[in-house]
Amino acid sequence: MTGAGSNRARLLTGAMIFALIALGRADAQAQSFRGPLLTVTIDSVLAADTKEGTDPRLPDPIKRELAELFGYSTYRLVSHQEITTNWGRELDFVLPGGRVLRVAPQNFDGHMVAMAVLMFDGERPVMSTDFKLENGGDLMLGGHRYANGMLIVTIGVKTESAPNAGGPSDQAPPPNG
Amino acid sequence: MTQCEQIEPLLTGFADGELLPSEMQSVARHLAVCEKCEAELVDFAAIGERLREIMGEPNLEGFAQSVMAKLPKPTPIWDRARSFLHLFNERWIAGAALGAATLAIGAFTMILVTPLAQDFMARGMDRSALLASFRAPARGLPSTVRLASLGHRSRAVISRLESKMPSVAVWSGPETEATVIWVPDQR
Repeated sequence: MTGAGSNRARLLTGAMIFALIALGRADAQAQSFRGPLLTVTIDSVLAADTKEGTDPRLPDPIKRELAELFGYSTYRLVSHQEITTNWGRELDFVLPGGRVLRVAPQNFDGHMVAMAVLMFDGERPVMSTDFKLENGGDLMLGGHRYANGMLIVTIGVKTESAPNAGGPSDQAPPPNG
Repeated sequence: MTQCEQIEPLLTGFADGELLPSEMQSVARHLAVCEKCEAELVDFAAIGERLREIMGEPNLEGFAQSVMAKLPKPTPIWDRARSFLHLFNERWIAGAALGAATLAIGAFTMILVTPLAQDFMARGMDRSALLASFRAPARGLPSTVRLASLGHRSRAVISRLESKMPSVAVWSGPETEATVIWVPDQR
């Protein structure tokens, strides 16, 4: 066999091994999808003391929670991101200000959704947590300075029974006011 | 380890009826489907029977009487009471201290069961949980930190939280039961 023929054979073998590994990974990922679809919602809220009130686009439960948990006079929705997904995937959300939130829904016991959340500042992990959250509920992350206030991020989860998985839908809300 | 290997050490206990009910049930279920272990159990039983035949029964005539004769005779109750009082008389200071300690414990217990004391203790526990878990940031923190809150809509149970930030805080609202993880920027 010539040198060129040998190289072609090696390339072909490598490509076949790569394809097999990729297929195996895809299959393993497909097998980990169990249970109803899950919608993860990330709302990023700017909290400040500028006495502008609460953004009407915020859902009422979030408004109540913000009012109870914090003492700011302004809450403005900066971004709303929503992904409907299957289980076993890691979802990355880029937050206003550049931090990245990685959310990994893990399982659902009928009432609570178990998930792992990792927050990155650039490539540096800032915080990592595992928690269970009531279906339809949300957990808040705060503490990052943004614009003239602080950024408060709500992580909401809701399972869906309909099998119509949607892709990522990242939509920025229209500017307030 | 095969199931037979797990069952084998239990066979003698099974033959003697000395296993726990669950173990007896496990062994019995296994024996019903395993001829090898059943044969082994039969062997154990045969060996036990043969040993009993060889050993024979010891002569126990007069055994109980000889044991009873060696036991000390019981002291009359009056003698025991007199001995105790004599000891107490010699050590009256220790007795008084014991009585005072009993009174102090009783008084402390009465204080603890009052509502004021319970409220004080509850506040103390909340504060210690706060200090043990996280250092709260300066702004707007309620004094209570609850990792597992019990609300309806946003109940969250945090099982792990790691951060290199020194002042990560967690708290939840008493009404909505929503939980916040506060990760401040590094200064």
